[in-house]
Amino acid sequence: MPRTKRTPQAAADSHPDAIFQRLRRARGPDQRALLREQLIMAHMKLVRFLAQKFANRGEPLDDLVQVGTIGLINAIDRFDTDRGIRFATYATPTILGEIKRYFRDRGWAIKVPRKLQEINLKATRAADALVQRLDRAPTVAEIAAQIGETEEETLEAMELGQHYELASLNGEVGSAEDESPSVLGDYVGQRDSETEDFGMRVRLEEAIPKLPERERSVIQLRFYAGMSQTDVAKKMGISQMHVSRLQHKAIQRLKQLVREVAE
Amino acid sequence: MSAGHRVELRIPSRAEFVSTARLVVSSVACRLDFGIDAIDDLKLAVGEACTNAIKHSPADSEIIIAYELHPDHLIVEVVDHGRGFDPSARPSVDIDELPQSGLGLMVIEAVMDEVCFQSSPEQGTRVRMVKRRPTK
Amino acid sequence: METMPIDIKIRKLGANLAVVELIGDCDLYTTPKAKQAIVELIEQGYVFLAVVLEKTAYMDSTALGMLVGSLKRVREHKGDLALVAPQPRVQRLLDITRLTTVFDVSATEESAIESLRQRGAKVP
Repeated sequence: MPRTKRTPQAAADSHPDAIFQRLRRARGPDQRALLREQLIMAHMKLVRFLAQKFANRGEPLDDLVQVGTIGLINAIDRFDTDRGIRFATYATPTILGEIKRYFRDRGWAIKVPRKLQEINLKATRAADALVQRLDRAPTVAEIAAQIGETEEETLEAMELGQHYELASLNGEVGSAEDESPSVLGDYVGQRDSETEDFGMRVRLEEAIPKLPERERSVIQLRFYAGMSQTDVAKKMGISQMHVSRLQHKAIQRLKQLVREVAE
Repeated sequence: MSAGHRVELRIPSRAEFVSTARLVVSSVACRLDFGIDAIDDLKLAVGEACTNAIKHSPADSEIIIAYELHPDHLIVEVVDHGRGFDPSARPSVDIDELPQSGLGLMVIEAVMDEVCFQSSPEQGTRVRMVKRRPTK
Repeated sequence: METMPIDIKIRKLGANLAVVELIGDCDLYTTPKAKQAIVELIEQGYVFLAVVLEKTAYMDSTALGMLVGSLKRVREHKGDLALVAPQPRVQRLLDITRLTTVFDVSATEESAIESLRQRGAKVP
């Protein structure tokens, strides 16, 4: 079987810089998608290399590679070839950032905050009740005894518990810069349920494609590409206020869709 | 009862660590069974003292906060080696003249039982604050 | 960017009226972020501000200084600033520093907005 030798031209054509140039000039969405695909493939080694650095933290490597790929896609979309830097240099912090954020969200949204938040709530109510009864400020020990938690956890919850308070969905949904898929899950999920609803995450992923186009774009850009409302507004050519309203509507709709499937 | 012990915390002279000093005082005061109002007062006083220390010291220096636990009172000392300030400066309530450090000292004096300031440009500043455990 | 233990929620209600909610701790480290948000609002023309302190867990003189500065700034632009629903420990701080004579403190957002409306805020 003869080995095909790549001509110098072919090699140059498949160089990432060349692909970026063609991506910029590409017209149709199909062509763009194809070129983006090529760019993604060309940089999977980089994603794998970076993901490997986090391999020993208890998360499957495949998941990290997937997360890193999201970062890669963001970098591809945002890369400005005129900047004069190599794409790999540009993409590395974006990919790393996405992976780090994944870890933060994993620990964040699942274990610590909800418990601390709950204890904080119980402690505040208990403190109010105890003040009435004792006619003076209660000690942390007294509050802990009242709510049935250890003194240390009670103190921790009182000091740190309020920091994890999630945005209320009735007012404007946060000007927070850090949105991610798990935060979206928290918005859409039932806040007062005691149990962690793992199935909800899956139903959420399935519900998003069912959103009307503009709402879907907002959700994807905000929570999956991690863009700020202002940037989303620029990208979609609408006002930031409009993005905020679309986001709010989308979340309400997602809540409904997720509930429907569960029932 | 943890009385008779001394806890010492050293933080860089940077704003992000003021909350660490507050957290430690609430932990220590909790050990001594101070009520939550007294804990809030202590957090405020320590926060103000550390804020002053940080403002008057270079960013690469350290602030030392010592917490002395006694059976019925807690002493907190905040020491820095910065340029010092004049503790006798007091703010007026006139909105047009409202200096920052004046307010901080006012707060410390209001919430602590005893306060002692020592400050000089050569040696920096030491603020020693005492809070008695509220009687049950 | 490091996460800060403060969250600032802004709601723009009218042409010159905004609600700013300070959630979490407002101290030497986190106050600059709140200040920046408020300065930006004022620059955009929101000179009537209701600053909601209901979820402000901790505030010290740094935050008070920032609020006083903000009050001065909005007044320069013929606006005003009201504080809303401070927790007892923050109310205590306002009492100690006698800033209750300087600030308009309301128990609810509605009453704050009403008093700002009477001073020129355009409420939708």
